[in-house]
Amino acid sequence: MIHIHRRRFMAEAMAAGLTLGEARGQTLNLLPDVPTIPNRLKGSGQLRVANSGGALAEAERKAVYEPFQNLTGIEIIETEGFAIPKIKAQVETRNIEWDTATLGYGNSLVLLQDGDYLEPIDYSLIDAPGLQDQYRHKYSVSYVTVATVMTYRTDAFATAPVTWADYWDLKRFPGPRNYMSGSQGIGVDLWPALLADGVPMDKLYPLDVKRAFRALDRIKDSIVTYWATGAQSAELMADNQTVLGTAWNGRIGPLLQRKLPVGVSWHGANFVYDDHIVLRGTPNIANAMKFVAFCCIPEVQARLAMLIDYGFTNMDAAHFLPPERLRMLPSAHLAEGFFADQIWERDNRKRVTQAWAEWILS
Amino acid sequence: MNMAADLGFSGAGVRSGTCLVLDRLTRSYPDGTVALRGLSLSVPAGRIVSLLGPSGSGKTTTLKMIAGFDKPDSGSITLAGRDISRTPPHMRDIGMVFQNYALFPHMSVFDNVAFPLRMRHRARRDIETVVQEALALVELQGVAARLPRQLSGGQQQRVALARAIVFRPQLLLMDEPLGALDRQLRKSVQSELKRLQRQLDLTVVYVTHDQEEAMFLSDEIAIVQNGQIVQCGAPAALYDAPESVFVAGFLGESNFLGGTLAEAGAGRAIVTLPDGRQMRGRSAAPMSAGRAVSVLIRPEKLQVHVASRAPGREVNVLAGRIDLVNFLGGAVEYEVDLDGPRLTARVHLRASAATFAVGDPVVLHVEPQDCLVFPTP
Amino acid sequence: MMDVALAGGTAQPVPSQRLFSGAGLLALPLIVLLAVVYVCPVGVMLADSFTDPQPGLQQYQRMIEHPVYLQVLARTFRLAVVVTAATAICGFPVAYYCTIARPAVARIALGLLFVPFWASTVVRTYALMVILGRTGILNGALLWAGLISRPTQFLFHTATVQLAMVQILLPFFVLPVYAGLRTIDLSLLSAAEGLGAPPWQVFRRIYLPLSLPGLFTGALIVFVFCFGFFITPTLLGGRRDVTIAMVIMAQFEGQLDWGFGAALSTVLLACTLVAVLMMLRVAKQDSNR
Repeated sequence: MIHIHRRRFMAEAMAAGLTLGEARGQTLNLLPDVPTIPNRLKGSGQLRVANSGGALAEAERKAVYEPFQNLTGIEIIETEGFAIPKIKAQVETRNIEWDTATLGYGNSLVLLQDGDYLEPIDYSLIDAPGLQDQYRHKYSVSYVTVATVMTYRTDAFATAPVTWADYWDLKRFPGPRNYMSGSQGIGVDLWPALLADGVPMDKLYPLDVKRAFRALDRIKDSIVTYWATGAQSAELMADNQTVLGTAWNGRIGPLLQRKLPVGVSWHGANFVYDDHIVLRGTPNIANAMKFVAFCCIPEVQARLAMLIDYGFTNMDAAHFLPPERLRMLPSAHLAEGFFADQIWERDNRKRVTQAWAEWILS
Repeated sequence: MNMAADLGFSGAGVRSGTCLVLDRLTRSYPDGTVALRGLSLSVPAGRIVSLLGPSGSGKTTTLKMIAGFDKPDSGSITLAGRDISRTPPHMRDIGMVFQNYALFPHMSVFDNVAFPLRMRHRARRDIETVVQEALALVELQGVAARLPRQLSGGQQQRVALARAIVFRPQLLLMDEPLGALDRQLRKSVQSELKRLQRQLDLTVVYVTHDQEEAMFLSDEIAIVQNGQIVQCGAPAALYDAPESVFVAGFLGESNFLGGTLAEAGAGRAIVTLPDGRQMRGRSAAPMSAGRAVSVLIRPEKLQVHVASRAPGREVNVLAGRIDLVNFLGGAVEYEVDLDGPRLTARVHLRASAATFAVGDPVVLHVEPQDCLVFPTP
Repeated sequence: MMDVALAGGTAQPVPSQRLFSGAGLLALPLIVLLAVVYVCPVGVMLADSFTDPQPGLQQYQRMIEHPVYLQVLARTFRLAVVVTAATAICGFPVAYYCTIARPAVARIALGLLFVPFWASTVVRTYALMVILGRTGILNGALLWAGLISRPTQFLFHTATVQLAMVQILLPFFVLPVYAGLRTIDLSLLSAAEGLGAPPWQVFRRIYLPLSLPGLFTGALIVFVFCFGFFITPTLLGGRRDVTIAMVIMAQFEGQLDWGFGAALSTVLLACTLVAVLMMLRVAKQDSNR
């Protein structure tokens, strides 16, 4: 799954804004403090950061930018910017306007395929034992995780559905379902079909596309609608238009907080992550690397995780989070799900999209 | 015009009897205006009857009632012996020429004229001939393929006429059909219309506010006032014997002298003018002495004499002075100041007739039978 | 009318023509704006479709190799035709009513028609979901009345999308048609009736042909708008209610395949142009008849 939907996710601020608002009321004073930082991360001057705007940027401002400026002495100049072509243009014309930017890991792979647009990450600055290898990439560091999960109406079934096979089980769990549309910027997700069809999570990739569509065929008529925005996936469940669905975890969190009869199953969740990247040739490379390293500090990640339903990548952040908060985050459920193979997704994107478009019209 | 004979348009067998009868029609609107107050009218077959009256008098409403575009509150409409009061317009078999012609802008002249025939499901070949003949009648054979907007006003008027008569309706209604034409054209169209009406033996109800047009065209004129017909008759009868000041004033030109009735009886009347002079005339209605009256004198009935050569009678002689001279071509109009009242006299120019200039002293004379005495309304 | 007026203007420039050239100058800012925000991007898009990622026709070739995209285009076309027809059928009587109603009543009717404009398409679409949803007003009423025993799935059908689009596009149709109908001389209808045409024939032979220019304008606006719809089909449609706009958006936002997105846009633009030209041609023939 190509993870470029986060911007959209954030742009529709309604549901996410609610999270942040409620979260702030309850937890703003519970934000863990960032301890003193090593001198190698201190500096001066400015840093131009491009973020994805919306609720995530608001959370980053509070959780990350504020302590970064206070502790490092580097001033952050924030812009909202998310577009691969813009990064390409800046590097190609050597007219760098963003020193560092956030990008879905899948998109960073797309970008790297097209050319050397990114600086390699300076891991000598990063002292984070809790940051696992899977988040350490040559040209980027992952700092948040998002999960695609199964959702259901708790008032629709006597026993709650757990697995994707349950989602596919029209007899035990009858009722209208929603599914992601694979259009308008929403990636095509075939993995739920394969998991439902009995493929083990660790044997998913390379995806058996034909088998996935055969499985989808079986429930085709029960999927009444295909959502194209995160807000829509939440609305469909909140309004009881569908009794089973797929959603990004950040969208369902607010529904749970509102005590709506909606449940989440983390079983077979699909995790993707967002990365920090540094634009190739930026004159501010030193400050940019310091920023990237700062974002790996467990307290910093925990602060962010208090304010928005995204998971952390430095596992030590868990120590700074209350258990009830931890339960809401993808990071607490990594064992129940799997990480998408972004390279396979990137390389098969066109083929899968094409096949999906043909299937959905059939 | 042998085509007319082919069509059965011919006036050979002049129809007799009554074509249309309007019986005590009333109509008022929700906003309180009363358009018709018991209007009755009888239209003889083969005649042109004009509805003449000021605007707002109810003549157009009457026409709409006949056509079926409006329904009377009470009263009945009978066409050729059939009560059509409740018949929808499209089943009334009445042709109508609208003031703005109401030609269908998206149809050719041919299709416009063919429209009523098509609505009557006439055979295609039939339609072709009949339309061509109708166009020939109004001398428009050459423009059948054109659209109405490509025609002059006069041509459009003729298309409208052809369309209204092509299906040989029982009755033809015309709502000020010449109003949009200039004076010159109007004259010739009037003659044309009269010729066609005779030739085709049409029964026509003609609405106009132009009294000259009404007198020229009509077999009968019905004067409409306040939603009623106040007088109906042949133009000459109406002109010579109006029954009210309104009718007299509306039809033709008139002089009025105000006064008091001194003596009355057996259709004769003696009127005392404010300056003491007396005039003799006919009384138009029974009145008793002492009543305020108006004396109507048509301009052409006044004779103008040189003051020194008075006709030697003492009845209806009025001395005055020429105040204004209006030359009209075949006639001249003198406005005479009678030391207070003013009278207009129209004199046809003959070799023998004396002419006068402004300031000349004159005496006017009028025969008693040409002085019509009305009660002042 | 126009032809006559232009033909009348001979060698001497008449004042009205000079005035017109002045008016042309006044339109300059708009022309510049259009050139910058419309013509240029369209030009870039056209170029992209032949050059991104490499020069050539491969993006168009892909469209031919994978008929699914043209299928979507065909579906969108069908949706546009159905919605346009339904809007015309629903909107014509409204426009007609506004022309015959008393002016005050007509104003209120037209005003009511535009009330939904105060809300965005998204809100109006969600409003329909509140009415038609599983737990919506309609299902509630039917259940209460005992006409159904379980909620009926009214949402997520092609018909739902069509209904919503008709509702959203209705004002765009009614207004030009109303403006057109108002120019029809009502005495023509009386004349036709008097000449023997029953009401149906008056409508068919006189009123309808004369209202065609307005009808065409309204239909054209609705038809072209239909191609840009994606919110309503996304929210209310089922699996097959994918419009070409949704697919194009996916290319730009999801697949980051600008070349193919541009190629699809170009084909859409061409098809729309052809459809519009055909409609205009029909309209012209009809008015010349």
